[in-house]
Amino acid sequence: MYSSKPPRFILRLLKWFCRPGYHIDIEGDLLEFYERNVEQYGKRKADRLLFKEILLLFRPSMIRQLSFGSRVIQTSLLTNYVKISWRSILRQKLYSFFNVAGLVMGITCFILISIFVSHERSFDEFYENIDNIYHVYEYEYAPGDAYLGSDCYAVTPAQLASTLTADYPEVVHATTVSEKEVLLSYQKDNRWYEKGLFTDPTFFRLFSHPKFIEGDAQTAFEHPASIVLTESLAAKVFPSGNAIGQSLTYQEKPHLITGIVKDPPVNSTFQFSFIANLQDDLNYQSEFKKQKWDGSNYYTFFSLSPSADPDLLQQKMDDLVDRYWTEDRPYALDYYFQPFSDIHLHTNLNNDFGIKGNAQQIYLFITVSILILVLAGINYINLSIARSMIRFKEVGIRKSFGAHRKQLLFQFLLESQMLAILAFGISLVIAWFLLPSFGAMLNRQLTLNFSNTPDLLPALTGTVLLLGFFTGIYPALVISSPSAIDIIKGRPHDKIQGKGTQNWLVIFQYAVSIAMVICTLIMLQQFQFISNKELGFEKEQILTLEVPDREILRKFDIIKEEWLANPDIIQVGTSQNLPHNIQSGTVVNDDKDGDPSDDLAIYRLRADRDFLEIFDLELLAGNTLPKTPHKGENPECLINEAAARALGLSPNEAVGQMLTDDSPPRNYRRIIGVVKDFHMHDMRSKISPLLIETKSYFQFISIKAHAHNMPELLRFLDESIKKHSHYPVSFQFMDDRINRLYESEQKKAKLFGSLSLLTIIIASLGLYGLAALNAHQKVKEIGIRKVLGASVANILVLISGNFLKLIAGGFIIAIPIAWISMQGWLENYAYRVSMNWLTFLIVGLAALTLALLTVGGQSMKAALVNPVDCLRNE
Amino acid sequence: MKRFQIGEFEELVLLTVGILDGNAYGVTIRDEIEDRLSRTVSVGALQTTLRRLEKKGFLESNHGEGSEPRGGRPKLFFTLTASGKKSLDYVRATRNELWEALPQTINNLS
Repeated sequence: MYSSKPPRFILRLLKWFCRPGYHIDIEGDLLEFYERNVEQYGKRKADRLLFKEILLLFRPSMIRQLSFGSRVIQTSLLTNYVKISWRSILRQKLYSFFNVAGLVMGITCFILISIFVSHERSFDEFYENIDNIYHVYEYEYAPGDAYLGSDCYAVTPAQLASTLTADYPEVVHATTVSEKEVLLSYQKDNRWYEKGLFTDPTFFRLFSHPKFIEGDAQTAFEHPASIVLTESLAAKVFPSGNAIGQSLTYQEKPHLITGIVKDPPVNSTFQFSFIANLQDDLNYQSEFKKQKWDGSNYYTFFSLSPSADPDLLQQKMDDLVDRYWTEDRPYALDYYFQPFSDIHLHTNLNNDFGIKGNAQQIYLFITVSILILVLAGINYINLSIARSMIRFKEVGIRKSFGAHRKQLLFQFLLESQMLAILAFGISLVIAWFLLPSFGAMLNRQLTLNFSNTPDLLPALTGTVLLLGFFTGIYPALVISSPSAIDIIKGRPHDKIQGKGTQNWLVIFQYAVSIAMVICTLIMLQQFQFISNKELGFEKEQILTLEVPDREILRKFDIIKEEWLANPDIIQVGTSQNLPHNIQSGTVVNDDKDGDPSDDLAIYRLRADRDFLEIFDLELLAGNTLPKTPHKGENPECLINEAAARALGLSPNEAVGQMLTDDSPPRNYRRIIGVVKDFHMHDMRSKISPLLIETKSYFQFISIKAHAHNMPELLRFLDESIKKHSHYPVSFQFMDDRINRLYESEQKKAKLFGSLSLLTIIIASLGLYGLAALNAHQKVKEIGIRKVLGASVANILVLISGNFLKLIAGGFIIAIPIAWISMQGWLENYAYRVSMNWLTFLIVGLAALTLALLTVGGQSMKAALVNPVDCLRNE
Repeated sequence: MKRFQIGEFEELVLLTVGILDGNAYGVTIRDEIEDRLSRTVSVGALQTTLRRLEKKGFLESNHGEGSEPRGGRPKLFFTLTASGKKSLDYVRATRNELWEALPQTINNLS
């Protein structure tokens, strides 16, 4: 009969708060409902309903009376508690300082990380219908390893949005967006290089932001060549106002300003300074007209009617590609969609847009901040227990005057709350000062603004109060436990409860901090390894320029000639990507039958011969690319070793082979050489097959130069390029670009390192306090031992030995934790250091030494004391 | 007659207890209200009201037998007291008075 039982904790909860007289029959009623609900809805929903009912029972008339012994309101006692607590805080300045300092560090960390987390979670929340907005992405079933680490692409074809609205009635609005930086000019000589969104009028219907300040969403894009500026761009271009009706020129065409909108907030994934009409864009027009499904260049968003089921729509979209793309396809692909609210934290797509967060990183930070808070709490617990004997007399007297144990508990809890709240106040101030630099470490603009995130202050206050409660309750129980008679009679105090707990807490503290330090060291080793690793191409004394402007492409021959005339410039080459980050790829086949089973997914670098020379790519077989590309059939190409291996050929065999695209038109390329493998992505990915061929179009210019006067050379290059282009250009050193691959990762590691340092400091503070108290308590024992002939060394071992054991215990626990978590972290890298037991040993020894120093001073003081001084009073 | 004044939900609960006539405990009362008035009632709201009515002396309670689906917990049966009945009468009388005072024009409204 009684088939499924509700979770026990729910009923316990009821029993805990419900009035004793009411409890039993209410529980009976609830169980009867529960039984019925299980039959009707299943166990999970029944559990949920039961929980809800019980929460709703939590009301004044139902909950048991709180009582602290007597019901008299004890205002006078309350002031006495506060006074006594305050005095005891002041009397023991050192311990109070340790307590508050530890708590302040822990809480400050917690505040900072909470602000960061709530900032990350607030992304895009300001859209009114955010829950109904989705972003479409493409999944490509390409052969071989995932391309650039993912087989999903954020971009889709131009006509997808209109197809969705036409084919699926549950799609309310669908819009196409692209992001681009362009040079806007006003009256010829005023130019701004700005990032804009290019989209259609539906955008404003789909997204409730940005809000229009002037103009309106309905008419903004009535005129095809129109543009809407953000407030800040409008103020920059037209300081005197009156932007509406003026026009800005880009891509050699004037665009009418039809509106001014609010700037996107910092927590918006879309960041832009203007919105322009995409339907005016020639590329978009032609792609839209061709209805081709193999070119994906645009982001597609749609809103779903609130009653529609997204899973059902996903099923219906399964055959979308098959219906429209009927020609021979080189690879299968499907369209999926994700909620817009997931875009910031939960995506890993190629060619994605906007500011990206990382959910895992957030979980890590939350965990670490909670750990630090716990460590600080442990300090409080340990120090309070250790000095509990000081408070015993007070407890004894209070008890003999008739104090209930509950009153004493309340008193000590009040004391811990006072300290926690004091620490919270100090932490808020410190966090406010630290916030800008903390935000810079995470590439975010963080502000301490409780009105934007209304949940934050209550959540923080709640956490602090909980912290005060949990750190206070255990010492309070210990201190208030002995009976008045025991205390007054002076029964031995050394049977303090909680000695074992204290030891475990210290072990835990050291386990956490040692594990974190080990992790930091291994991260540092990995970054060291990365920056020392031979990349396989030259990176010194190479200047690079990303070409913003077609004008430069057109005039490149003249520019190159001009540059080569400068004696400091050795060589100038062009390419579509730089060798550390190759973004393009294709699928090829090495035979003529077009059998798709041995297709090879291959990265593609388009570059000229001079580029290969500049980066000094080593040739293993065959020849380098010709000076002028072969016109007509069978253009030449190079491949890397990995590609030769993938084709099952040695470098020498590969030369002379043909490669073909696996979809029509089947162009044949002739392999004329094989280059040695080099790292063409960051160290997270392994070296994959690569094809190098010549194309006249390029995106990067690389310059090999003599080093003696770089500033002079940069000035020369700047001036020379200014003659040909209005775009702002900046030359960057190749090695800087490579370092930037790991910049954000390194910043995070630095942050993690500081946090681990903090845990060590907190643990040491606690240990110092414990050692001081321990030495103080054992002062008579030491005196007697010394009188009986113990040496200073004996005493030292007596006092420090136990602590060192605890730290050794913490170290042993820390080893597997650090090992497993770092194993996981290192697996992100295809090229990684192997973990060295020496690292672990060094950290362990360092922790022991530090602890010895912390404890040693106190032990030494105790050991050197003259026995007469401490025994005289007896 | 302030002593007999009760709120709308209290009135519903009193009436339902009366209707159930001896078989009124948490489960049946809730079912009855939900069936007749198709309005959802939380156990919390119901129990609070029952206890309040008991305290005011409009209801009496006594423990019944425990039974299987309740995990052996006893049922708490509620019955209407004389003053409970009186308060229902009072409510009804005041309502009627007011209804009768309503002018014809208002009655024709809908």
